[in-house]
Amino acid sequence: MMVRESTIMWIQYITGLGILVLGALHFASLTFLVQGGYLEALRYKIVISRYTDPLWAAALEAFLALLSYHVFNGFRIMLLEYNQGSGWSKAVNVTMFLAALVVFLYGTRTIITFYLGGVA
Amino acid sequence: MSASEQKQQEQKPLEFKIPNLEGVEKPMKNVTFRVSRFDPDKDARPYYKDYEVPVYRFTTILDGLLYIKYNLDPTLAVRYSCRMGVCGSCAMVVNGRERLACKTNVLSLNSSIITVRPLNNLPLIRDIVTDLRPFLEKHRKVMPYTIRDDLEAHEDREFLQSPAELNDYMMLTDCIKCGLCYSACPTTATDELFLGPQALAQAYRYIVDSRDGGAKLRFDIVDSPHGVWRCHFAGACSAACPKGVDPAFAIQQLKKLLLYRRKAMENRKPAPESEKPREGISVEEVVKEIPKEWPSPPAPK
Repeated sequence: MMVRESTIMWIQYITGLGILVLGALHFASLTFLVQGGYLEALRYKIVISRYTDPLWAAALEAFLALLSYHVFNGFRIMLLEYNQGSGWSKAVNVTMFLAALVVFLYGTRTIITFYLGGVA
Repeated sequence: MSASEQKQQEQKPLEFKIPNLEGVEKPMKNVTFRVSRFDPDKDARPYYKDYEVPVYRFTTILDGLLYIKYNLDPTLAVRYSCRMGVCGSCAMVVNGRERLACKTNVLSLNSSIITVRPLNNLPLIRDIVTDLRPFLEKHRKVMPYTIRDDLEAHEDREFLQSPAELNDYMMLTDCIKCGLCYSACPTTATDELFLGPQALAQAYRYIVDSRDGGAKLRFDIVDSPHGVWRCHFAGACSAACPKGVDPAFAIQQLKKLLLYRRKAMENRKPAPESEKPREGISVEEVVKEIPKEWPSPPAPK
């Protein structure tokens, strides 16, 4: 089924707003939300403590999902404007969808791994 | 006129007088017109050629080009018609900006070199004349006319519309299809399938017209991968328009309609017709009144 371009772009705008909110939270979690600031925030124990918190893990997963959609749909738009033709359009749509899926699954794997306690 | 006189007149070179001030005042200065030239039979690519043109107070770019054509180089191809900013035929890029040649005063550009080149984003036919077909085909694609089922059933009635409803699209009716916005659009420069600012603005103009019932058909066309969503709101189209039309605004409004009011617009009933038949005389009656031969003008005294 063909998805309407307005639906795709509506999601693009919504994900853009979501990225602003969750991106700010992500940035905060790496700086002033942690005692000791940026240096302390990147310590393994502190990172693990964030990932093992279900709320943080869910926020990171949502951030990843929004980014995967927004970034690769953005690339798709640029590539469709860069060149035209039905073969090109199909190739761009499929490639960008698969790329977004790969990035999302790979990121999810990382989040799940750390949610379960990380690597020994 | 005898045959010899006619032949003599045909052989006489055409002479173009710059309007208004020839013989009344001296040229203010000479300006170099750097004109893009291209003959598809001879040239591999366009090149610039310089011409010296005397400029008076009210000389326009079109006057300058016609001066070149009739006095310096008759091979120059120029497209023009009304000479008063109404027909849009003389659209071109002057000193890097899209302008109507007949509406642009040479001195107002405040430059001793005037660079004239054809419109961007359109195939070049010759010199500064472009092929407007891709632009007009996109215009046609959005169905720029009133669509409703009962259009033919009520030929003698007017459809009712309030001044407020008219105001929704009035500004967009000033479009003269000159192609300046299409040339200025950065998206059209890379995406040749993009409908372009003129067609999208006209789609909006007909969708919001309360007499129209074709919103669904037009939404399907503009809500496509190379439709309204490819506009990045650079605003170059509105800046280029010589008639004060604001296509960039119309395109953003069209996006808004698609996101928030699609169903409402698709289900909207077009404005009803007047109960009374149209007053005044019919077109047939007007045609009947036209004399077959126009009377000759009075002889000069």
